[in-house]
Amino acid sequence: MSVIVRQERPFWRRIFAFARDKVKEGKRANSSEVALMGRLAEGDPDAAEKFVADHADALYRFVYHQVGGVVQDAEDIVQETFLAAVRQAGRFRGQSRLRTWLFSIASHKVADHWRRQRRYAELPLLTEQQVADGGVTQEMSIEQMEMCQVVRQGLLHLPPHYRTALILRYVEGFSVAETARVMQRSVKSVESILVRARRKLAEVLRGVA
Amino acid sequence: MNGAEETKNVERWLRKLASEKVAASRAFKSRLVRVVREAVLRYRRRRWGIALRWATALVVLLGLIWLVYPRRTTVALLTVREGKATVHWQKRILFLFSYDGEEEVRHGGTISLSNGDHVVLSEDGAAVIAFQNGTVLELQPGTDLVLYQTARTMVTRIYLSAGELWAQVVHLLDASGRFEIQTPAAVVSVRGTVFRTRAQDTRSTYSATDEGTTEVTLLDAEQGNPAVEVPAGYEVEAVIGEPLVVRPQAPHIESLNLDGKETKLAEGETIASSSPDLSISGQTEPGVDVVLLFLLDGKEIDRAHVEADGTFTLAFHPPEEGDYALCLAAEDENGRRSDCVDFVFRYDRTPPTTLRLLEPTEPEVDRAQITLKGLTEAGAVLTLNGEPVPVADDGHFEVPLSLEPGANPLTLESCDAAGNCTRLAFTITRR
Repeated sequence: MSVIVRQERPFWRRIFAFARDKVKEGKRANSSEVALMGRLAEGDPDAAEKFVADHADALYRFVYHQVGGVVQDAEDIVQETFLAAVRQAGRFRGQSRLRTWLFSIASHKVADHWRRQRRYAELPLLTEQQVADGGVTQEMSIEQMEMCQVVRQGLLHLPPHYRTALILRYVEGFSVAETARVMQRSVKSVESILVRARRKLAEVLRGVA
Repeated sequence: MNGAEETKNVERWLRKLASEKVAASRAFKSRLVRVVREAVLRYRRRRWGIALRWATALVVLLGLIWLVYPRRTTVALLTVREGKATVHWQKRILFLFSYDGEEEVRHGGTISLSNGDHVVLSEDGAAVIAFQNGTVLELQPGTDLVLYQTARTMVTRIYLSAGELWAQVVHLLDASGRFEIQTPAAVVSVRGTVFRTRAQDTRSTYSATDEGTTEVTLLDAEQGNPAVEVPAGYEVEAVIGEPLVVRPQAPHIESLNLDGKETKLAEGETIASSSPDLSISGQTEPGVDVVLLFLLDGKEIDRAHVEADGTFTLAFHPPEEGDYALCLAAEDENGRRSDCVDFVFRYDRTPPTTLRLLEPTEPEVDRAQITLKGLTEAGAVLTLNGEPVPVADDGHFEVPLSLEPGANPLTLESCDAAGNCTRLAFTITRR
């Protein structure tokens, strides 16, 4: 009989994490973000450039890691995300930060992408050879690049919401509360997802990384 | 490796992923900017398109509402002069549906009337309906009618269930134009005239024409719905089951000259004179081409032609004193005679036989203030030294009197309606 003992963080650390989350989450959009979306809603084409410049890289990174580093898929999804945002610009009331709103749209687009591709179900288990094929960056050592590719491939073996939660929390540096807002779930639910996702990813990468 | 270590490892691996410099290519960003710009412009055009479609839909919707909205076309204006009128109306929607309503208009109020409106006037009511072409209907108390007018055929039809109305219809220019008043018993159809119609009951209708000509159709299928023309000055009483007879209207005497005095003559009244030569000069409506008759017990005693200005003179010479029931009637050249205007002529040459002084009983009195009491004929006109004295219904009279010291000569005079007088002169001395 096995007993699962949940290891709780010390109380003071949880308080600190909570305060940090509250400070970082920034619940509402600032006035410039609202103004930018207002211009897009009114059909101002000049606003498009700033919109893309401000958010393209972050969105691209988020999507890129979610699609296993496939550039074409990442670009398609980012483009779809921007088009959807422009289409819904009139509905943006500044109730959340613009980044949160965009990531929420992007996560839906990624989910749609995987629903179409169903890639994660077809993926084989990781092999040593796959690890050697990875690498997209230039300023990292070969070993690091290999490591990143392995982790990215490992993420593909997780359910989409596990993957989204891990990337938002640890790669994009979102707070738990902000991650919950992007995923449109409760904080408790996201915390639970994060625990299970970490465990699942550890299982996937066990013996490989 | 336990769970905590695994978690730390996973976090470490993922943070390495975060340290990886991943960014969208410049070419992709340029393409993205272009695509987003086009999308912004496209959505702006689409929004305008959507707005245009909504505006079009709104216009179409308003048009449909305009089509189906029950509009009531005003054909006349009802003004209530006395009492109140109740207007029952019905609104139609697309000729398929309708709903009813009721509105009460009181003294001084006005309401627009439309086709199919049902007007009921109270028993103490009086009202006027004015049409746009100048036609005027005066409604008498208790009138109950339904109004219907078609612009296309220029037909105005009034369904008169009860009551009386007086109509002044302007000349209709359109040859097909008609103004009709339909009662349960008849249809009065006119083209420019002044007339009066009264729905007496469900079987009879009275109609009189004052100007122009009306056509009256009796709604009696057994007689073949006979129709007659009723010219000015004539009247007809359309009774189901009886022949339709047109006759002159009874004379309407506006003024009367009796023995050189202007007087009034109302039907059923008694006029009295002490002169054996009764001459009645009067005036009726100008232009009426009839002969006026004096009838005594149905026999003609005098006739006079009405002059162009409406004046006439009739004479009667009673053989002896007494009351004579006379009839004033009109007769046209075809011998059609109107109803009578009845009145009584009293030829009286006998002065009041009763004029007596009851108090004071003595010719001499001690007081300065006395009350004179006496008796004369009932209905007589009494004066004391030329001043009128009121007389009770039974002929008794009394009047306070101030006496001067010494002899006070007094004269009582009692005159009847025919002008015959009895005089009583006496003296009362104050000691």
